[in-house]
Amino acid sequence: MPLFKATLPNSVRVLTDPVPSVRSVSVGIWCHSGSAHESPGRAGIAHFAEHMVFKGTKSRSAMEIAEAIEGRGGVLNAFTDKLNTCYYVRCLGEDLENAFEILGDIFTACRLDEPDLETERKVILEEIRRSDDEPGDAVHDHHLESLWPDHPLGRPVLGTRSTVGDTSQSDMRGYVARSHTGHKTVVSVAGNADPDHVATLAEKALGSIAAGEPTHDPGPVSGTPGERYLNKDVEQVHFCIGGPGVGVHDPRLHTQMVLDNILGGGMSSRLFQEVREKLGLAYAIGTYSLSYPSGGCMTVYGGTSPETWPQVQEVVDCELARMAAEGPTEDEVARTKRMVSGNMALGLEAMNSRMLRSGRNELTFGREVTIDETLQKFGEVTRDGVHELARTLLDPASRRITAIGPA
Amino acid sequence: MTQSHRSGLAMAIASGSSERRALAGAAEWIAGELKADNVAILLPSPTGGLELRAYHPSSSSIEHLVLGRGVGLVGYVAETGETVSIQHGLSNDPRHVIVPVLDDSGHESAIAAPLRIGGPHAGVLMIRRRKEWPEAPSLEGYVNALADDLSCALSVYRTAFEAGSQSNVAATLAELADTVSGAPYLEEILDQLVQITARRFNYPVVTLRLLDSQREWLVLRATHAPDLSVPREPMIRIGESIAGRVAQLGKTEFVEDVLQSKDYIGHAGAIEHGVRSMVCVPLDVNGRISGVMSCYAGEVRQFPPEEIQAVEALAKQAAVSIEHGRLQARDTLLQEMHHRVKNNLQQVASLVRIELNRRGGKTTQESLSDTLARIEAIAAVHELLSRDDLDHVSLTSVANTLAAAQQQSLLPPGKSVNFHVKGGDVFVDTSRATQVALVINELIQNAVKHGFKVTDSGDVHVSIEAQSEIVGIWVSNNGDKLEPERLKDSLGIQIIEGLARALGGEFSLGEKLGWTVAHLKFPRTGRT
Repeated sequence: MPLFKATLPNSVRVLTDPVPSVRSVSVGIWCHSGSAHESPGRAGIAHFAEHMVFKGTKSRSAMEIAEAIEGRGGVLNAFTDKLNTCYYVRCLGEDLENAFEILGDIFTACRLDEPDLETERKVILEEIRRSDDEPGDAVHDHHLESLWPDHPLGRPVLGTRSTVGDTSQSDMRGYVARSHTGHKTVVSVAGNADPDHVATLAEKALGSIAAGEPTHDPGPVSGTPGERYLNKDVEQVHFCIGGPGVGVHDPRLHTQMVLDNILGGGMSSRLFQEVREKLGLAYAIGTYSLSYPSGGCMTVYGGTSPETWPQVQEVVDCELARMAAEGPTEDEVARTKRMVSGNMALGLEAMNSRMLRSGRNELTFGREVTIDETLQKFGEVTRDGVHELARTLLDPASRRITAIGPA
Repeated sequence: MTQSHRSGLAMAIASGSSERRALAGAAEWIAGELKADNVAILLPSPTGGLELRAYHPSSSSIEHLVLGRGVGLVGYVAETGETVSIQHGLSNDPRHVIVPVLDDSGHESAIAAPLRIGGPHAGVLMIRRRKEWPEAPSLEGYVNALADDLSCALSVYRTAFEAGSQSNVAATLAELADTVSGAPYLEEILDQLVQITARRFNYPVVTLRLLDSQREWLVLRATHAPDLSVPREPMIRIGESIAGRVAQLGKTEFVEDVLQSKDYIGHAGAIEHGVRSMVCVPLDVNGRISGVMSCYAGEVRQFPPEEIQAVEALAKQAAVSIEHGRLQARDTLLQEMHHRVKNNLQQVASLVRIELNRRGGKTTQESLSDTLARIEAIAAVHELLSRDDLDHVSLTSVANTLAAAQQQSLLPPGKSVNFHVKGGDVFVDTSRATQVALVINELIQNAVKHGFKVTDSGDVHVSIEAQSEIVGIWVSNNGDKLEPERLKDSLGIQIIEGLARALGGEFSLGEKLGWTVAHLKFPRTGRT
């Protein structure tokens, strides 16, 4: 069936992807507000608010919220990224109404009490400490901070100890009042659900929130080349080597995905074969690309011993230069297109993936992007296109290197 | 070395159900025997390097590691054939290099001995401790004896495996012949074939793929695997990957390690199942390829020529059995087809009669055009029946065929309507397929004719899903608003309702959030 879309009077958009042959349903309430929309002094407030809404509402305690979903075998969770926050439930189709009631309650009537704020502040500070203690994770945040130092996309989603420590109850209440509003909110549902019923439940759960204003994403981002080595008492050097990438609205987005996969997207990728399989220099080695409306980046990541770190850099430089100079082979492009397309189709068999896809597409493009359309875009990727993009993106002059390792 | 030492190592190797497990057992036994922190067994790789084949303590992080030729202490031992013992200061030894994935930091002492297992290059047994090992030099002789025993046991293991494979061939062919002659259904024959092959040759995974009717795709039809929930590539195009190439060229292919093969496309499944070497053989009857069978080993090893010949013999016998089963089914189908053609002609006559009696405001051309589309829907099922799996038809294939035909014939100039057909493989038996095809045809026709009279562009979605034994078909369009009153008397709707009743199902038509949605549900099986 098609993706059904309804718009409530307060501008909340409601999407339903009905799959009648399954028993489960995934429901997400998205708020188009993430760390990239925060001011530097309030960094981390979107993620802090995501934690706070689970602490209780005017009619339910935190325990009652969790039990209402988990007691029926469902899952209640949330995540915050650079651009969005999403609260979601996975449950049986027959429990859809209950899911909307709970999600609607936490989204529209969370208490945000002072004692809860203090408790959750400690939890988030622990989360930041834990992240700092895991250099394999922390290096990615440090890399983006160095690559995009003056842009909101460069700031970590968790915020800093200082900004989280300074967030007051009044800041939190102001943030939730401004961001949990109609223009910023999208509901996406996938699974055993009727579109009319979903629209009715969404109206009941979210019809009372103010329309508010649409979110404005930050302006274009450009990378800052350079190197940064952070000393830490660890065994390995954890590194990110990268440069610019294309944004989500760039017509070369799918070409970048193919390039990314050929370079470091799996066991048959060039970097995995060269660095790990042939030379045994690293256990983890791969690439990823991030694309936002403001721009993007492409990054090689991994971990190696301090003794082999210079050699790893040489090998990565050499592989990136080879790709920029010669481009991929026809066979690599064909195999990668098939792999990426296959993974995408398989991934969408899960209701949660379908819910996430439709929600993200609405928030990013303002419309449905069908699988057929995406597959067609992958089908149009050519070897010459990948080569041309590699020449543009893999210029050593725009390279940024970030590493955490022993002194 | 005492007799009990020998028997301990031999038992550790013999208890492994595959070479990989045998080596893991040996590494564990040696670690216990020498109170070592770490034991690694590396064997020559086809590229001339050393491949890590066992590591104690076991770690999932070092599943695939090949060291270049001459690299590090083990490379030195492999090249020179000398045993090396280092009492302390391992990291200061000039031959030592750091290999991060081998957890190389923190070892103080080591003994490394060559493994002579035939062939031009030696493997290496490396034993390490985190503290000093003053007695290491005096243990050299003992470690050499262990390495010799390990080499010897490995050779015996491989020889025994090969001998076992050979003695299996005749018995396996006999068992297969017995089984398939008693199995009336193709699916049963295929299932028995993979089960027998896996059991007789101790393969953890065997897959069988048959060519589709267009001879473009290899479709996965039977699998033997420890965990059937691990996804495998359901379709492989001819010429692609190993299986596609075997089907195209009709020649057996051996892949020493699928994880290292860039041509192989099922890496994720191979990792999940823990398989490495593979032989893929064609199913061939007199030069006509009907599919391929892939047999996987749980470790990297050679498939001796006798073993490959045995698997090829099995595949040939299976191909003959499959062909025989198909001919039998086709014979039965021919009789069924005569009956069905008579029924379909009666159905065509009935449709023409209804159109004749209920032309309403239609012109002769419109009436003929509608009737033509209906006859084409019946023809589409016949077309699929002649090349599909003989006794059942994929509704998604029917919908795709009809959508493509209608997109070309129904759309007037200036209109832009995108058709989307979604759904997994929902099959119904041929006795119901014609009626379902007629309903899908009417629904698509209605969606285009009534949905895009005014609206110039939009989408028509056809979705087919099955839950248990109930099949659901939805045809939705986002064109003109639904006018139920006008549709109530339409001939198309009456035909749909009549066919829905004949299928034992229900039909409904409604409006949902700007979409007109027609829904038919009916039981997958039943008398018609």
